[in-house]
Amino acid sequence: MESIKVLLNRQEICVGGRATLRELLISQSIPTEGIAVAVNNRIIKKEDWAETFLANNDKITVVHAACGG
Amino acid sequence: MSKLIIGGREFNSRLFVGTGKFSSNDLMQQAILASESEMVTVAMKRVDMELPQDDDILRHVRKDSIQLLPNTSGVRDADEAILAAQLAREAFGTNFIKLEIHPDPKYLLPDPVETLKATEELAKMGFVVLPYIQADPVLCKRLEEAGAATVMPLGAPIGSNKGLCTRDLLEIIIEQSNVPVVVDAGIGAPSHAAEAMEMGADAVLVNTAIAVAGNPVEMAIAFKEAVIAGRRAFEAGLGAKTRHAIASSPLTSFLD
Repeated sequence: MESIKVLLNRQEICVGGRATLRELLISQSIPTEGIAVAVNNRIIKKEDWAETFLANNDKITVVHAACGG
Repeated sequence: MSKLIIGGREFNSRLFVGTGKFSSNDLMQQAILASESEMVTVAMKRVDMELPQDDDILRHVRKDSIQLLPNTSGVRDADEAILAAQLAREAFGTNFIKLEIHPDPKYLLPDPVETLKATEELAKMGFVVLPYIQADPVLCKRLEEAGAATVMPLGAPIGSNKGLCTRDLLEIIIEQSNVPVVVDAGIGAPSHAAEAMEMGADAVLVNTAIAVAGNPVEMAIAFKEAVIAGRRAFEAGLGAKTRHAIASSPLTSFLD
């Protein structure tokens, strides 16, 4: 199967051509609680991760809590 | 003492605290508990791909009595702030957002134009918006009209511990505001917090002064007490200032 490249938090990662967002997060050991995800600056809700298929050059942003005032 | 209501939620404490700059997450947790604060700010960062299972700070601050207040620190304009607010809503499950847009790293002063634009949009999207802004009375009214849940004017630049440098403008803001006024930034000592509360501020937000104190837990308690004292004094009604002395003891001679 053809693979594609995506940018996950600015890091280039190769995934299978039919990979979903959920599969990517699991494969990268990212905890699924307390995070939020945007693909190309569009929020993807947790319930939609499994139906979100990744495309070549997608820019994925995953954030979580940090200390701050 | 009267209760504070923001976004339909009632707060028993008028001290909001931040989670930045503590030497450890455990110490932060102890200080927050000691402060009895019910509004605690958190920031967001990208998950570190080298350390995706990094210590989750939320486990140190999640508590039924605590409303998390995610901030938008790090954004440069309204568009980025709106995306950050949506990420925060997804990550933390709350509509509360501390809107802060301060592109200049030296003074971290908030951009009023972008803040107003973002407030308008976020309020329409159903967020409870608490914008961090300059102590500008006109801007505060504009933000109120735009749907801000509070206004959060600064006392002095973030982390500066300089106190209420904007005192005269804060008085005007408090006098005019129909939404709660939270004095944010620059509060470096419990006396500064008490002063803001005596003036009629509805709450204060303190981070650096507690986090970098010699003993953050004791300092958190000191701030808690100062905020209570200041609010109690405001509600009790302070005596008027006068130019001349007004005797508090009888001046009739009794020794002749």
